[in-house]
Amino acid sequence: MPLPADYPADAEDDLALVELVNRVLDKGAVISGDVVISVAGVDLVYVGLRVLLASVESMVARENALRHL
Amino acid sequence: MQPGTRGIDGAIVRTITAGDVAAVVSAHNRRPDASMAAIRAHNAVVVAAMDEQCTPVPIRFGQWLEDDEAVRAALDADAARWGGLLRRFAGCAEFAIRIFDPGLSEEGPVPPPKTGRDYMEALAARVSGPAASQTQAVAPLQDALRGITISEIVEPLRTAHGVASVACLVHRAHFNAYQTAVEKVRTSLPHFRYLSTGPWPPYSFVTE
Repeated sequence: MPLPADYPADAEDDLALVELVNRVLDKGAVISGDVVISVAGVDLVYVGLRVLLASVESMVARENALRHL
Repeated sequence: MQPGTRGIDGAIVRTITAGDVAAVVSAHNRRPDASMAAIRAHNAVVVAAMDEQCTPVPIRFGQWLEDDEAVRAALDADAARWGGLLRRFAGCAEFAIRIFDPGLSEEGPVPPPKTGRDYMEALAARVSGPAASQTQAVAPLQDALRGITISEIVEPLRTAHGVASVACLVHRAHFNAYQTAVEKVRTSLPHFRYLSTGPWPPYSFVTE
């Protein structure tokens, strides 16, 4: 699935975006009972998020490998 | 908040007051869909409402009420809670740290053992690896942040190299001390990766 154009390419930026999406969609105060459960597009955003998380993990693994060269 | 601030879909943002608290809202004819642009816009409005004295209570994305009266009713119904959170958050923001252990082995079959005992030991190491990493990586961070953070939330990070996700509520007066403490831990424990972001509005602390 292609990522939206405003997804950053850098892993550090990816992490900031992961933190942003997690907070805005999954945390914060709930003021109405029927909440966010039915917000359209959430699943698609989380699919993109998994791609970003994978890129952060790759960065960590890559840096570790370089350290041991 | 600056007059003319715009939120989701470029809608003008305004406030609705009920008693001692006010909600920052924008008008939409239906519940907004989740998109990266909408998520960024939602957060930008919360950030725009933060100043040195006041940190708003961040609201979860996607809540849509019928009209201004419904918003006032929601504020009135939970007035004590909103007041309590506003007092707790005054002058504060949230920082996030994701801790990774690049040494954690990827999931996969345990290598062929020479003996049954070898197999059980390899299996035990795999099971205890993340827990051990958590103790070794999180405890020193919490020690370093003692007296700097108001509150911390630690959750396991369930990814291949993930150890923990830590959210910290920090007063502005301690922002520099916080950054220094994290850097010190990062330097003293180079085996782990501490990836830090923030300041954020205190989304993680509204449910405490």
